[in-house]
Amino acid sequence: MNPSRRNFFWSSLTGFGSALIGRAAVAQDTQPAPAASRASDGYVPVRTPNGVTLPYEMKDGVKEFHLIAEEIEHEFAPGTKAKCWGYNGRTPGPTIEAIEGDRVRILVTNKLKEHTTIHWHGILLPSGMDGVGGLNQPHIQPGETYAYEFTLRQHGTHMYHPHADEMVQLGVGMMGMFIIHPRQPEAKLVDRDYCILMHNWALHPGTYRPDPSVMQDFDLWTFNSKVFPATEHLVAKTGERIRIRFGNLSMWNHPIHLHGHRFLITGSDGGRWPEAQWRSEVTEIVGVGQTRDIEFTGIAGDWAMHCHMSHHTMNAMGHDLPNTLGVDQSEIGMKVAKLLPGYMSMGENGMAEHQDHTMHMGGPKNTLPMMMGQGPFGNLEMGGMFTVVKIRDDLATGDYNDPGWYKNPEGTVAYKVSGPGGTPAPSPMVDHSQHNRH
Amino acid sequence: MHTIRSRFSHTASTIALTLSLGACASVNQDSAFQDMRATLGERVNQELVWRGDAAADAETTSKVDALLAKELTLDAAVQLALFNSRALQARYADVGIAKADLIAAGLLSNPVLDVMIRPTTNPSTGANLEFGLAQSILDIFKRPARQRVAQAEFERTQNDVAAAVVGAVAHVREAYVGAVGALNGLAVVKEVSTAAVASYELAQQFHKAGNISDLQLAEEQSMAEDSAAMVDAATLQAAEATEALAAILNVSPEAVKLPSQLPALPEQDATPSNLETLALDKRLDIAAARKTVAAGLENLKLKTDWRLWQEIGLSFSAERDGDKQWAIGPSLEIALPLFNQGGPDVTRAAAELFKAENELKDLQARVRSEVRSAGFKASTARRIAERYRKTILPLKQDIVRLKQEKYNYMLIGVFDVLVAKREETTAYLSYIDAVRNYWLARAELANAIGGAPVDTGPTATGAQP
Repeated sequence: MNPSRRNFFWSSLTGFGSALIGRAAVAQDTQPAPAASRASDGYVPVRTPNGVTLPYEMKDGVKEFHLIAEEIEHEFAPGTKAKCWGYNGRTPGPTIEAIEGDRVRILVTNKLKEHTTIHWHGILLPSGMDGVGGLNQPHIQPGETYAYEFTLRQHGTHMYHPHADEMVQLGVGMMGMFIIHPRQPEAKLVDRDYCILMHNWALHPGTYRPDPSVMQDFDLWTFNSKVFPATEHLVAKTGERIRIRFGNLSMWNHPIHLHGHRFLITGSDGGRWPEAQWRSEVTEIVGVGQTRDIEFTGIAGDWAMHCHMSHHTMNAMGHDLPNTLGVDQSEIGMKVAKLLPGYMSMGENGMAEHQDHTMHMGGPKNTLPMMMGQGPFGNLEMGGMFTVVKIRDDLATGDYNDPGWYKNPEGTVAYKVSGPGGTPAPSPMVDHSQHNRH
Repeated sequence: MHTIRSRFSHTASTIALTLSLGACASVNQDSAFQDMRATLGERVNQELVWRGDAAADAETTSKVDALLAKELTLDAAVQLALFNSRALQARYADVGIAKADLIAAGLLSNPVLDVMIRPTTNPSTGANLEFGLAQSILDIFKRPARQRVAQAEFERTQNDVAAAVVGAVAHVREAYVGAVGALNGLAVVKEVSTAAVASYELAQQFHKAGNISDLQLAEEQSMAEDSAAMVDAATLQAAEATEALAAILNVSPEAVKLPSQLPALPEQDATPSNLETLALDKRLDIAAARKTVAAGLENLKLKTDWRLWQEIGLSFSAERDGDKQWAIGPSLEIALPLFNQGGPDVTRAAAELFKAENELKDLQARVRSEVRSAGFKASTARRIAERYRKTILPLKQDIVRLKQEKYNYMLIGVFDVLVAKREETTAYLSYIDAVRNYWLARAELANAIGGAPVDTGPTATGAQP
């Protein structure tokens, strides 16, 4: 399966994943219909890559949602699964989406074996609805269902997570996003609205359950609980106004960097900022417990978007490795191979070779190689908090399907001037039509 | 009186027989050796030889050469020792010595001829001449009892020598297992060292590239040097063990071709159920102790029966006096039991018997304990060796494999994998030790129950797990 097809497959499958899990309430979770680019309510429904939106029922003018806290099996990318905790069969839990002024009732059923609560992070509400177990309410015991009910008095990008045994429950995946659209439609409506919740996981190589006791040495860094190359690509049409909402419930700050664009920071958990406060950036730090909205106009191409902490764009890796850079192992490597059949010296000239090594050298069970992913020109050597924003000229409005790799216009790909098959140094008159040959 | 007379008539015929046999009564060493071989019985299944003459010696030498031409198995080592050990040949001579003593006990003391010439100063008369022939009568009377004592002694010596053969077999087994185990151990220690040296050489490359500190390099070097010292120690151990085996086999260490590994454990141990009873039945030292008791009984009876009769002499004398007439007549000499009535001899014989009886009982108790201890040691040695083979070694191999998988994914460095490899090899060293202990324990057990075959024998394959 080629990478683009695989990603398409994964994004499709995750959309249906909840249906396969087969719980009535969960089965109604959906991504917004592709056609609904502008809802009658005056907003574009938010899309959660690799995730779903939580449906609701109107009951006497109250939007009633239902979250079920439970243990689940979660796949970070093909090759790594883990027992995690989440909501409605998934992590992150379904995105709750509502409009400023709505009265919402959120039923929370606890199917865990210990008590839980949900804290509505950043939302203005009565103290008794804030979800801190022991402080604002009794804990929700296993088997019990509680209702949280309040009127939304704000808009913005918010989150939800347990506030009972928080370190453990958050550490193993209980979290979700809570998007509140403004009652007054935004002056400049966006065409596509994405939300990405960031997290870190201590899923040590060879294990099947995240270790909640870890504070810094995390193994996996995720966008919506997925690592690259399983992170769903973000798709938009050239010239469309795109918003990406980031939330961070991990234990590190993440400088999110988008290639090929300058974006504006337009809001946060504090709501949409007045235009005068918007800033133009290419990298924005989303601090622990914060949210940030960025907006930009799409420019055609395949654009990387990732956390700029370079270790956060790696999958499982060692941090106590002896540094092999510049170490000549040619002779001694043969000796070692006699002792350890299958041994291969590596790392003398860098680690790029590693991605190819992992294709034929076995690693620990349930463990992803540190570097993964393939693009049209070769290995991407990435993992973790990395995805691709794919912007195309010829995309139908509201089409979120993976359009495949970008076809670069002639003469717009970096080209080789020396080395085998290189093209001589260019002059302004040279035809570059062959330059993207590789 | 009647008794005395009948004893005398019996003695007369005995004298006649003894005189007729006396001249040709020489000791046949080979038959004495065969008697010992019969005593040994199935305790040792291999061939025993008496290298008493040039022909037997030459034949045995060629058999020894044939055994040395091939790789030496445990059984072949035992056979080789039985052929070639000069200590055993020396021990076999004891059977001949005991046989000579036994024959000597059947012989009468020789009669004493007494001649006296007394010249006179009177020329008219000739010299006074006197001839006497004296024979100890008591010696004749005591002969059967004395022979019974000597027979018991002879049998005891046979037991002792047979027991020495059983002991020698056990020593060969121990030395063989020790030598092969030490050589195998040396090979493994060399492997450990190879891993440590490879690790150090890698570390040198890391250091040259500027990636590890002097401290880390020194630590790696220290491990490599330690392992080299271990190789030296293991080399000495292997040389000593090989030398010890060669000494028992009476060959030079270079002449012996030893396998690279100890025999693997047999699938099951053929251990008889009632080891203690078996030991009491088969142990030659116990049999020897029983013979000592029997000999003591005979001795006590002899000393008691003849306590009053210390000496009885019968003699005939002829005398020619000055009148040149011969006077001939018998004479009898009897030591009168006035002061010594044989009491001390009886007391001594009774004490010796009492001592022998109690030594037998003590030996039986010690043998039972020894057998229990050897049995426990053997079964535990098997459990330990099996644990290494079935669980620990596969685990160590898994650990190396799993660490290598982590290395493949750059989760750990090569040094960690080499440490695991060293630990795997070190565990293999412990396994060899366990197999060696097993075979030593089996040899000890076989010896403890008197050389009865308790081993199913080593299987053809080596101890490689």
